[in-house]
Amino acid sequence: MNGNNDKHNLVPLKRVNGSLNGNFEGRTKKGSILRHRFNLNQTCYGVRSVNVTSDNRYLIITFENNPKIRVVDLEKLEYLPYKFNGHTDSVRLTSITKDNKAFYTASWDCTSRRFELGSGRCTRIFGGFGRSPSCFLDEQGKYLFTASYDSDLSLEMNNTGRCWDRSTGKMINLYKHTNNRLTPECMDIAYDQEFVYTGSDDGCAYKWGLKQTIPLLIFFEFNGSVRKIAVSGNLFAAACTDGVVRIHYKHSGEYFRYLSHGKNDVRDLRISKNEKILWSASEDGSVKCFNLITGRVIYHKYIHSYWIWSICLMNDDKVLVTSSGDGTIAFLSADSGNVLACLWNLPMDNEFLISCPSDKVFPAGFFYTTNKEFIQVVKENKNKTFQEILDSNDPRWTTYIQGLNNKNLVLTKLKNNGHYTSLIEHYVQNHYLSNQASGQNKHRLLRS
Amino acid sequence: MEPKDKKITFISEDIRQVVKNAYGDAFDLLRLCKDHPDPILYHDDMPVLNITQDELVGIFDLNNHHFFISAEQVVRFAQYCKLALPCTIAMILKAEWEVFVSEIAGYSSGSTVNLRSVLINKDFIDKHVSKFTPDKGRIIGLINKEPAFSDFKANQIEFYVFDLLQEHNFLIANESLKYIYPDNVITERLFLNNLSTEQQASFLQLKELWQVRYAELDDKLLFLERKKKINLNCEGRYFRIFGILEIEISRLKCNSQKFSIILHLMKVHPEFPYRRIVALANSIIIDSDKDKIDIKNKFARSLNYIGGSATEERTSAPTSEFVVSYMQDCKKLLRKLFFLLHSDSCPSYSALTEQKKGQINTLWLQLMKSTKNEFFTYSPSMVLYNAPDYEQLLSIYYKACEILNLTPDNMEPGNRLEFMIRKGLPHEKIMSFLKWELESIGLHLAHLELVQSEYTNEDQTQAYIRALEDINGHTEKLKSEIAKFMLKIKKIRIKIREGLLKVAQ
Repeated sequence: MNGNNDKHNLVPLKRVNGSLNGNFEGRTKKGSILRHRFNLNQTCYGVRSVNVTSDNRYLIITFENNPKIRVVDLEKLEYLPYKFNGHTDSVRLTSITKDNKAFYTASWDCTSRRFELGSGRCTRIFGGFGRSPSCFLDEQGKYLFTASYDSDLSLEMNNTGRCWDRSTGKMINLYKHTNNRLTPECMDIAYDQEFVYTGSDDGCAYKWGLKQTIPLLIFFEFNGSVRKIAVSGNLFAAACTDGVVRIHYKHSGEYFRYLSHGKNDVRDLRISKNEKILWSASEDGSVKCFNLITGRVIYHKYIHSYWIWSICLMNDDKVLVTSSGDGTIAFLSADSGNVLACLWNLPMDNEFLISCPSDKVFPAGFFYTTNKEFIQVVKENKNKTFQEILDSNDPRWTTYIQGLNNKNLVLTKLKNNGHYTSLIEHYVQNHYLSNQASGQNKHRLLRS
Repeated sequence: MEPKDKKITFISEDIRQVVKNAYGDAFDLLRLCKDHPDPILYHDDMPVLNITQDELVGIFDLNNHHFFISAEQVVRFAQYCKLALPCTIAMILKAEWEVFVSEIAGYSSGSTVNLRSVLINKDFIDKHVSKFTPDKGRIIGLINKEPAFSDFKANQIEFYVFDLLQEHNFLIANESLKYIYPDNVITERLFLNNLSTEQQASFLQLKELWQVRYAELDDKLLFLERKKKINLNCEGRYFRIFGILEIEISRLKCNSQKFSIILHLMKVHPEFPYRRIVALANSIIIDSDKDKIDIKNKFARSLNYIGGSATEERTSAPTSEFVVSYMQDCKKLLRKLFFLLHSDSCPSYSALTEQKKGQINTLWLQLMKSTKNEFFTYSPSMVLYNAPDYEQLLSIYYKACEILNLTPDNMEPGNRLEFMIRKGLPHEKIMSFLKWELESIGLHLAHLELVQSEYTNEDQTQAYIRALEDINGHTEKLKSEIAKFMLKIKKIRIKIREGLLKVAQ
């Protein structure tokens, strides 16, 4: 994903085995090729956070410099028709309830809100703290944890975590970081049904008793900031601004392993359910996947042209979702880091554009959009010395778009890339056979 | 509801239990046999079972001389005892299972294999039950022949077969099945009433999605059929204008190929007489000949067109209501066809003989080519100008039903959900059914998107459109092509003549 920089890169259309032009080959204009590019008049909004409901149905997106929230229905590839109004500044993170009916936010407008997914209504507001970069819901549905820059409220205060009773709205405890803050400012909080974990821009990562005000243990202390933390069954991991992912045993606090992402700020991280794999995402737009047992790098891929703000896992840890300041959200195969699809965070609320990279059948890739005007089809010769932008009334434009505007192929790729791969393998194989054969056998490929 | 006892029973035990439940302890089973002096007659005035008394006794002998009751006889017996549909299907499956097991275990009459111990051996069952794939199409045919079951749709019968096999429930005592498939009808409202609020919400959400996806599939199928038709009209326009030139090109192309082959054969086999070489060349260029005929057909079809300006046509144009209902009918039929002709949804496709699979494949090809091969074209004011030909689709459908041994009226894909709810299946099963269906429809839709270009002949149509945009230019191009071919042929013929002269000298 090269975001807005690459939106003018042309992608050629040429279906497998020269199926384009069919039997008419030789009498069409030789040497010219049709390509497409995304014709977005305005830049896409930077994406601050992504989160997916546990049933993989909804993707919640928040914006970098804007209080907007969008929810994508991943089964229909459309935005939910609700505005989720209420916040006045950027929403930095969301946390989804266990029943997937609602989500809580952490915002720079110094509040945390509860929104219903089914109606878009804001049903609860928690406030009284500074700008909040993070929030966390406990699995039992009893507590909400918020992290905030309370120095916004008073110079005597520092970054603080809070525990709230979700039913009463009452604040139960404070988890205060006391060391001097460094830049960039950040704080994160998590809970594992027993202990609370925090990491902050004072370079410290702590473990707390739920109702205790003094940390039970300090995992580490360093001259930098802890951007995000992740807690699994046995491990505590922290994404740090010195490019290191620090991993400790969460029970004892002992060192487990430190992994280097690179020179740049690590912005987010996730641990697989089986604790064998860790994904980290960096300011340089790359995602690194580590084998937690050996510490070896499985892959390191540059996905975005700008920083990655946030990542999350879906489809039982098979798909990794990354959100970036370049205004796109990438869906990656968690195993290989290959991009499955890229969702463009367009300024218009009702427009949808998602693109998939090239493969054997679609060398130009394909896409799904609700507004075909986003797709500019260009005819150019092989030397790229001549270009003609096709008019939207041109039948070639219509046919080109029809051939590549494939909602269900995008859906299949997102839901089960294995199914998509076998579909195209089958198609390619039959296409080859049908080119060898003639007459009736030509249509064998049309069987699913 | 789960049965209290899931003990595996033999078909002989089921027969005894079923007849006892229906007619009491005192019933004489032998009276069902054809050689009984006073047999009980079935509704066709024949004895209920077309087996002898000795054979009936053999059913109960699980040692050396077991008799395997056939599925046909099981259906008659079950009907006579007024068994419900799932119980009847379970008995058929059990009868076929016993035959299947005996083959695997190497049992034959008089052999030393103990059939009784094999049939209740859990390890043996677990190992082999997944390989047991009875012919669903045959079962559907057998069931539908019975007047009492004639109202059941093929997909309902298929569902029971699938469900009984999936959990191996066909092996348990037949009377226990009433707990799994209760007779009382459950409405969706009642079903929802028994669920928690969360379960209700997730069911309704999934159901809505399922309906949306099905509608998308219907729309996509109709869209592709219509697109095929529209593209055919474009082909017609092209051949009305360029048909004669295209025919000339195909003729010259064919001749050029033929003469090239002749020249080649003359070099390779100088000893062959010229007539033999010509005959050989003719046999080689069959494909080119086919292309030539195909182009001639397209040209002939294009001439059937009558412009849409005639007054008579305008007055007899169909009403919009008629068009809408026609399209709806097409949609329904296309879904049925899609269901029947696809290997993953066609009942018992895997169990079909190679010959029948071939027939189904041929039908599928016929559907694909439904507009390409037909010889009719229509005026723009006629429905069939850009809509699929319902009669043609219907004839394909009837043929498919005939091959699969199904009753056409009983095919109704798409209403399984309602049926499953009515039969009181548990919430988890219905949810997993919906999830499975969603995945399956999604894949069908993705596949259609993948092949839409080939399906509608779109790429070729684009070539026609480009030609029609510049009629003069394209005419010149075709003419120059004709000239090139003529020149090529002339040169080859000169070479052939020279070759013949050499041979003559």
